[in-house]
Amino acid sequence: MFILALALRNLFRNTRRTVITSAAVVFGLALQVLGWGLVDGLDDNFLRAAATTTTGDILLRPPKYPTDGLSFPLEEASVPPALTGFTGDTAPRVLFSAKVVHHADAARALGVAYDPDLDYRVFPRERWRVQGVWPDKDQPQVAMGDAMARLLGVGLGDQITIQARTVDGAQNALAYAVTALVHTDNGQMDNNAVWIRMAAADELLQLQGRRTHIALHVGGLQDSTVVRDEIQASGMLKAADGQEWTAKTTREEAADLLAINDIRRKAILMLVGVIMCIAGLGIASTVVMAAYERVREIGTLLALGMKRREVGALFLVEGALLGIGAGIIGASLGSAAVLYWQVNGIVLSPELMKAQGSFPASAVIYTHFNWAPVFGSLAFSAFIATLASLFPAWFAAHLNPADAVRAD
Amino acid sequence: MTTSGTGAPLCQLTDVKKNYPMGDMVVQALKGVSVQVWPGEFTAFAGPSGSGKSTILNLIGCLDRPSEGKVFLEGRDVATLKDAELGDVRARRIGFIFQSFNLIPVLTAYENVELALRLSGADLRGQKERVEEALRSVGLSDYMTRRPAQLSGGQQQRVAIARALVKTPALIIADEPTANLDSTNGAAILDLMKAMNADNGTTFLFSTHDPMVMSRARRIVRLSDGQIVGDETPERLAPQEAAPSAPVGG
Repeated sequence: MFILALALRNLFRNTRRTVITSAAVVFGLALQVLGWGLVDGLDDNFLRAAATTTTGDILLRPPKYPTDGLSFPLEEASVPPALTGFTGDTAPRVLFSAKVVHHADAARALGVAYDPDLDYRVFPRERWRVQGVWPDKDQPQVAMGDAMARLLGVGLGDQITIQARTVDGAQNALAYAVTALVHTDNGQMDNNAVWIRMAAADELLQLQGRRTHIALHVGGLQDSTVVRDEIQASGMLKAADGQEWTAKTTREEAADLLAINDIRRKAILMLVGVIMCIAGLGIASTVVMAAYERVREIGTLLALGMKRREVGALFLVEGALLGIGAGIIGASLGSAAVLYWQVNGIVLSPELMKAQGSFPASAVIYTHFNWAPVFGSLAFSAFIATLASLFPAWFAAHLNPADAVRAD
Repeated sequence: MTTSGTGAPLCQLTDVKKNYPMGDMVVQALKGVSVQVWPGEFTAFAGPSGSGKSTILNLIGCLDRPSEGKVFLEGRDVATLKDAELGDVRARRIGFIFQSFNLIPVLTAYENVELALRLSGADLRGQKERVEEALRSVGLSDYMTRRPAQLSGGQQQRVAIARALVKTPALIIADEPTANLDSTNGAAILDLMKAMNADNGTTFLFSTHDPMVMSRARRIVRLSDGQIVGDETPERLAPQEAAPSAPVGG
């Protein structure tokens, strides 16, 4: 306890030097906590964007349907399983590749055929910003992503033509009125999607009861894996035609994107590691200077009977305190930024949203506060600082007291 | 050479040599020194720079080990003690007063004194009273909360004396204790040390080449070129002023 108190006093002996040395640690740890919170937020963002617009909590597909999320082969559409016994909400859908033509402009689009009585139970439309009204059941109408509408110059009430292949591979094209412009949690949908009622899609695609996806809502992402396993085990996924549909949780659906985020985490760790190594050298330099400047004082402590290991411990504790102190400040600053953006969100510019292209991501990223990187970075900082203090501690502990007490 | 007084010597050096490597050469700081110090002495080791005064005090103070010969402190051969044991001896039995005061600058006067008591392993009960008493005895009751930088040189050396005294050591070693003080403060510090010696019987050994300091010593061991060239009890001292069991210089 006494060594701790003495070490603390020594740290403030040269406040300016202590502050400068601490700055690198503060910066490194703030960066780590903030970076981690941002990447965790991106994870949440991906998962939320996918869950609320395309996958639900669990997404079912016909057995041969591709899972890359990039191709939407209608020929793989199949009669869906009845899901008898499943108590959650279900939203059968047909996703299809389409071309939207508006006057002389045309663009590739993702057609989303939905069941109007079921879809909103899985996909929380109240979170979306909708201009206009959703398509009427008896009319040839569609809703369109607002970014796509801007791209094509489409306004509410405008007529567009949707070209697509039917289930049998024949080309078809029908005209629809755009009754709603939709802004979801998912920039990918806003850039590409056209929502069409299932009955209208039947006419365009000749579906004959076939579907490409069923999204399930099970009341929270945490339960998804358990529910998915139960569904698979119960045989519920077997359709009337004998084909067994596949089931993936949202997290599994977003695995590739989450893997990219894991790479980002590693990159942050490497960057912070480099910063902390530089900070460690700074701490080593500071503690070495302190040891050289205080040779006579060390000699005095030895003369007074302080044990060599206690003298060494004094310098180790000084280094550790420097690391922990700077770590607490850095982690606090990083945490404050994470908590601020967790509430207020980081709004991505429209240009950035266009650039992110095919990723499901919302235009507002909320960072995610997590204690693990805070404690992890504090421990890392204390470790680096203590490591950096090993040499000065060894130097101080091995001084000859007879020489040291008379040092200049 | 000295002859023994009554009882056992507090410390005894027998044919002690101390060599220091200096590049390819070896410098002999002590060339076979023998001396005994008795409890209650107030003894000066005198001589010019490089004569070996500080080296002798380092050896007696367990700060260093001899290259050859024996150094006994309270009957123990300190040359055979391990580092940690030497540290224990220093902490419990020896007080130091340095030329440059050597106070810990981040600690107050009180804390500097308390540090020595704490390191000595003294009972924590009554520690506060002992520290305060030590500072009061050197006239610094009103300066306990000041740091060394807020004290004059004389006051700092008084704190150092209090620090040395607080653990009631068998021996206090003072290496040129007045060298960094003006004559007035130097004389006051010596008077204080002498009073402590007279009141408590604490043994004081100090090095000096200052005639004023030597004039107050009860015994003067003169060194030159690593050897004892004189060991005397000044004639001016009346017999009753001599150390309780002081030897007769020879």
